[in-house]
Amino acid sequence: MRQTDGPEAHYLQALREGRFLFQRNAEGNAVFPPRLVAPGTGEALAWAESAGRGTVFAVTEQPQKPPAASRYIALVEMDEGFRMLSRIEASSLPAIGTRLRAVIDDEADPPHVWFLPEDNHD
Amino acid sequence: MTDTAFPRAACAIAGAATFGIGLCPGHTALEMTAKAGLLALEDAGLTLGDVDGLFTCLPEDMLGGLAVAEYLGVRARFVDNNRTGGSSFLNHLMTACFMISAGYLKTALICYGSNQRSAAGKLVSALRGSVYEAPHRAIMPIGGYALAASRHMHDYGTTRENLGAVALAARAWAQLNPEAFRRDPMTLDDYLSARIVSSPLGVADCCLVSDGAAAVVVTALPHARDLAQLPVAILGAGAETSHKEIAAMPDLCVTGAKLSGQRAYAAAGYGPADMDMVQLYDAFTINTILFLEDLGFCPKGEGGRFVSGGHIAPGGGLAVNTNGGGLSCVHPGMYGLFTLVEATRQIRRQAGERQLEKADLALCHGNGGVLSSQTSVILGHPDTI
Repeated sequence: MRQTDGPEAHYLQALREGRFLFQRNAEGNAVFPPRLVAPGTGEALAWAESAGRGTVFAVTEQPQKPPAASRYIALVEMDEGFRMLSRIEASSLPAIGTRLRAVIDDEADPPHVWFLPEDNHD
Repeated sequence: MTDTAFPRAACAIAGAATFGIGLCPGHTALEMTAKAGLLALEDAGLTLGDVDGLFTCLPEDMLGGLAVAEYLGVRARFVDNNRTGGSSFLNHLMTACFMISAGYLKTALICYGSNQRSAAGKLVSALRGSVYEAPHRAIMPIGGYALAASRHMHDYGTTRENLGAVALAARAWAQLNPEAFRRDPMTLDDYLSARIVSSPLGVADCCLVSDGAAAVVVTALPHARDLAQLPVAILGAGAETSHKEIAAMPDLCVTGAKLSGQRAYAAAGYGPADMDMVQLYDAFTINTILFLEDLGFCPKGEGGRFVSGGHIAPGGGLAVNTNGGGLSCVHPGMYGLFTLVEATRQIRRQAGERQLEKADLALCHGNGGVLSSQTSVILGHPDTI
């Protein structure tokens, strides 16, 4: 009998369908990246969909060979309470505390989530 | 579980060696590892036939422990290929001490070598990004350390000049060490004008990309007393792993070194104020600041100010990385073993021009991953037992 998808495949399939998922334990605490069970306790996890809003927690500028623009790599604290490493598309280094909104690249392989500063309406 | 379960002073480092520091063209990593092992055995007055435990990991060979055992012809009763990054070899030392004190092993050889500079010209890493992080093509591992540095600056006002003080101190120590790879003078202006790789960290914040090999021989302390060198007692050790990826680090400004250090101090019966030197894994300048805080040498957030004004340079208040560290002496990819060799040389009074006047107690600290795996070891002169 074939097993149903593991958490990673489930997460990636949801991204392909345009939904950015994370997990919560029984107390409502957020867990990311997706896991089989809650880390440290082994309790069950439930899927939830992120609203895609977060804040820069830490950030670094990685200059690229010209003419390519610098890459901004950040730890993003999501409003739901989990932290993830991602990329911010911006014209200059976003400060710690900058509000962000998630963009789902559902066509990429693997599909993934990157961020724009919230005041950017490109 | 108790931190004092570590077999205090049951074992000693009886032999220590380095080989091929800097450039070692024409040698494979396996050959360099074997050569360092042979030199450490010679230093101890032992031979290959005395080794019954082998602890190693090679840069690219998943089964490197087996390769080294075969190459040296060691019929090991135990091979440990544990790889937690640069902390691996301090973890090897912990395991060896428990196994020797329990009577399963008599003599352990811990060895490592890498020809990454001659062979690849860049950091050789077995790390692979996860499906969540790889698409962003971040430059790692420096990106992880840069994120921690950005947060330390934000929370505590740490500056680029503070980071520069770490780099300058390492270079000043290296200038006293003929074996060190980078001995040319460095000024704060040189540091500040170095190319940024991942802000706030630039090339002058990064450990070297060099060749190099090292090895230590560990045996029971009474056995070590009968051998060629002054035995360096292994007084305490402790470890802690908090995460793998930087996104999962519970607090970007507090590392597992806080717990690994507490465990090592508890086992040894000594505290930070007793240490004559600190040999720590300075993969990036921020590491030195974070670890000096977490290992109890200054309060959290004060590390940047602590390292300033030459405080950890030759002649300063605390001797840190007296060989020049990963920043200026040697960094073949996983530096941890070199902390043990340098402390051994200092405690034996064999450190030449950089010899410390008081060199009886050393804290050695290894780091693996992106501030992920932390292991602390306290070594001492036999008089400190």
